[in-house]
Amino acid sequence: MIVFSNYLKILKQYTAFVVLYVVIFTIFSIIFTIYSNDNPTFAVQKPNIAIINNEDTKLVKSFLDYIKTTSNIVEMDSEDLKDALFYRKVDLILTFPPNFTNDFLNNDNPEINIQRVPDSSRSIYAIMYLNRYLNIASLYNSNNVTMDKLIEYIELDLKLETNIVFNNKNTTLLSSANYFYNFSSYSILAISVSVIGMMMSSFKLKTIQRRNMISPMSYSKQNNSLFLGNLLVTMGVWLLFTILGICFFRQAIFSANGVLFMINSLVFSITASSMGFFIGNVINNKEAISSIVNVVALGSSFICGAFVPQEILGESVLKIAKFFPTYWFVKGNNEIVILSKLSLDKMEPICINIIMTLLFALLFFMLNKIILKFRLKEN
Amino acid sequence: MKNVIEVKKLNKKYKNLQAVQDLSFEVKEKEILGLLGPNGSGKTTTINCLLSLLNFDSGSINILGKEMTPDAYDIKSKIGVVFQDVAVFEELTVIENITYFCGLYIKDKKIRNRYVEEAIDLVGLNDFKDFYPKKLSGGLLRRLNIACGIAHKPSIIFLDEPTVAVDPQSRNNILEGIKKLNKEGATIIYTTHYMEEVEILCDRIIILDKGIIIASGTSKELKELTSIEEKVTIEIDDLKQEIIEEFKKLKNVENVSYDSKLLYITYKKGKDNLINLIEFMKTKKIKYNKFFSELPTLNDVFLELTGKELRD
Repeated sequence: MIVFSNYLKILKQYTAFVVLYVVIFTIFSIIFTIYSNDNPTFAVQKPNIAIINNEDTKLVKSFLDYIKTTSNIVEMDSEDLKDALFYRKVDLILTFPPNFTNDFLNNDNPEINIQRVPDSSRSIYAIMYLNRYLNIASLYNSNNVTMDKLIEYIELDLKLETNIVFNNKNTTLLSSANYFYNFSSYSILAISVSVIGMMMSSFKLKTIQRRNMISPMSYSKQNNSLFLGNLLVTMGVWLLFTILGICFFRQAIFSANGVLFMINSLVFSITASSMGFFIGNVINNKEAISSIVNVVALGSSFICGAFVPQEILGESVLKIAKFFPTYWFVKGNNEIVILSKLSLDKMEPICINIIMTLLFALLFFMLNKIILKFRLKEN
Repeated sequence: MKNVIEVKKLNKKYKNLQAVQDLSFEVKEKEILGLLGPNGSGKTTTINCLLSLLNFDSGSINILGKEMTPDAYDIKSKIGVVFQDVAVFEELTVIENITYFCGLYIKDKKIRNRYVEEAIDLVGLNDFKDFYPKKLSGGLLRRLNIACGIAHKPSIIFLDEPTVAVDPQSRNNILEGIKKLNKEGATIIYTTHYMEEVEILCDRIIILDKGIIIASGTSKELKELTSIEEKVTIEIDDLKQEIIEEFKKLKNVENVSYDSKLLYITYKKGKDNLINLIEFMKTKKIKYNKFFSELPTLNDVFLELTGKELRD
């Protein structure tokens, strides 16, 4: 127990460091989760419309008022309009034909001349807005109403709005939890590799190791104590992120998907811990460990889809990412979030990803064994 | 007294380098054995083989009557080691470090705490108990290193060059501590290339060179191996070459050299060397400022046996 209690004493020295790491990563996790949680929305961009009109009727005025609500009306000399269209200062030039109001009210279908930027989405939107008004107007006009009534009906129609409520609160929460857990891979990896790596670099310092080896405590006993210490760090980090997950997404976490998130995260934490053990065994320099943490944790998180969805990453990037446990962890989370029913066939891809993550833990465990044997032989 | 360590025909080779060759020696209970030799003479290799930290090619090592192996934990529990390189945790204080290393041997917390206090007392670190190693000077760090190695009160202590790069005050403290440990009953194997230390400290000395024992015995026995009777150093402001040549012709003179106003004369064994020298200087009216005479050192023994200095 002396090795374990010493582990705790040294760990205490890193408390400030761990707390700092945890606070920073927690803040980043929260910001990232909130940021990622925003549904994909877009702000409507008003198209720029130039209008050539010589009429001053109530109908044209109403039409122009409507256009003002949906688009930016650009005032310009008619000679400059074509240049403006070419240089995309305006998206569309609308030219009212002479006698437009009378022809419209008489159902003579007056043709509005439209010149627009080809393949411009904004000009297409502008046409949609114009058509909306003209279609409503045509509909009421066919029923022979007066111009005043026609304008009144059109304006009433345009004011109508429908409220749509999506009843998918849990799905949204799960999706947020997915973002949270994906991002947590960075934090878990960085904290575990840093702390365990530094702890190991203290214990595996050649001079300390030599002194430990001449003690009556067997090498395997010492390693078991270190393993226990590392397990404690791993569980601590995992528990921290689980508690954070519960705090933010209680409803989603206490569901089958949530439990799977936790299991996936636990397996990943174990892998991160074995990775830290490995790095600490290979590198005895604490500064070098910090640099490696940045490269491994940050680099793998970027290419494995912890920050950017895997769907938008390039094929070649994902091919490289497969050599990192983070890829399988994130992939597992992405599978968990779409799981609607617990069944063997639906669980299969999740299990495969979890097993893949676990295989990395096994790989690092084996590498550790080889290194320790090599070190013993070297000594 | 019985032998606590018996080494027979120990051989260790690193690729093409024969580090230790047919090394055989014994260490008696409660004695201080000095392993003296220049860097690379095989001292540390021998210690590492004795501690089973290194595999050796042939030979046998018995400690406390049993064969020493990597899993001979009963033997290891009675051994204390102070390595040349300081082995302490940077993250732990002085007392925490000693407690940890003592804890590898002593399970009982009460006894352990008492031993830790005694070790701190022995090396004189009472005022630095709560200091972190980074805050300690080189000498104090060495003392901590020693305390970590001996706190569990071992019956056999290996000290591998514990005073390298240590200030005189700390060196005295360390040597006094070692004497005290020996008085309390510990057998000590002390490796160093400082001949003065083995002369002060050791009951018996083994001189190693290129992995071979070239001489062994007490300090007195070793010095008898040399043909030198004494060495004289005289400070003379100006000395002509012909006078130097005349010094060489004096009876029993083996070697004469003059450098930076200092005349060095080495005498072979013989009688009335100093009287003859003083009379010669009176006759020649040689004025001198200072006059020193010293007996041969272990370095002279080593020089005579190997043709090189211990610190080469």
